[in-house]
Amino acid sequence: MAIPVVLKLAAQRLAGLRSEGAGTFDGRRVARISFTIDKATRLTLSIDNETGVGLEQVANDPVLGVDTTRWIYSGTQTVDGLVLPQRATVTRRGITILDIRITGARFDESAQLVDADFAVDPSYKPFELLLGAHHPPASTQTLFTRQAEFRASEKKTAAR
Amino acid sequence: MIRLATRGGTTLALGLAAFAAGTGAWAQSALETSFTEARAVLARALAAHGGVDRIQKLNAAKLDLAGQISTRIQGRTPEGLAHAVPEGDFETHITIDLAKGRSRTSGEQRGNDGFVFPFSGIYTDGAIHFLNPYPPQDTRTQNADADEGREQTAGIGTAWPYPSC
Repeated sequence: MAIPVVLKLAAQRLAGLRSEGAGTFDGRRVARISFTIDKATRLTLSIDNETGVGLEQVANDPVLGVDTTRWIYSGTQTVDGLVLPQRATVTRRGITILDIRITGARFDESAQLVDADFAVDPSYKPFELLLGAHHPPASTQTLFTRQAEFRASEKKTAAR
Repeated sequence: MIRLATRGGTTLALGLAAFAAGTGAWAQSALETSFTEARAVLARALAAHGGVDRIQKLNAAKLDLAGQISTRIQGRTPEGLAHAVPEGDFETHITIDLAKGRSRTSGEQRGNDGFVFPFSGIYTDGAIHFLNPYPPQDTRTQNADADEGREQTAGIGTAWPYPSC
């Protein structure tokens, strides 16, 4: 939904920026560009030739799975000097899965970010530790002992 | 005869070299054209979404989203599986820190029967931390590799990591 954010990322990753040609979208002529968001995500954006507004975004979404996710934007609104869409329809494999509207947006100083916004609550334990409680890992010494026992039994079998 | 053959070979070699050079120049030109066109489109989009200067200064964002969800995968009824019927509504709050390359998505999905599914995930340091409330656990999946990141994330909640021994 935050098209200015992805446009900034595109401007910071010019080496991977490519034109994907022109076409039409919902009766409008569009130009398509693609760029890399991170090592796992490449995004294609359709830009309206007349207004310059982003109309469609296609990208793989690691959070949602392996499928390519298509975002179709409609409407515009201006918040803190940035132009955002009003709504988005998200589809996967041609099926509409989300119908989204922006109910609030704040940028930069208005956003008032603090490190606590990204902190994990201490009560959350890493998943591996929880798994280890049920299946405690064998120590290296235990593994060596088991290997020695296995070789000894192999020798006994061969001797017979 | 030998002189003629040598002369012919030289001409052929020069021709091949010129063809190879021409092909290389054409390929590079197409790539450059793609890059130039893309930059022009990007500049137009930047101008339309607030201007280059405003977007370059953009460092933080908080978005509140709401809407309806219809995964068609977890439908409660056969109709839910057969058609894109909204299964419930959701609220999502997204916090983006562009300066430090991290983001957080949290919120809750509410089914039509009153089922509430809270969710939260933090993207930082090349991995997504999924915070699952029951029991409180932090599942960290690498997102730095195009195949591995997507594969691991796709099976979240169902796949078990490899045993540690």
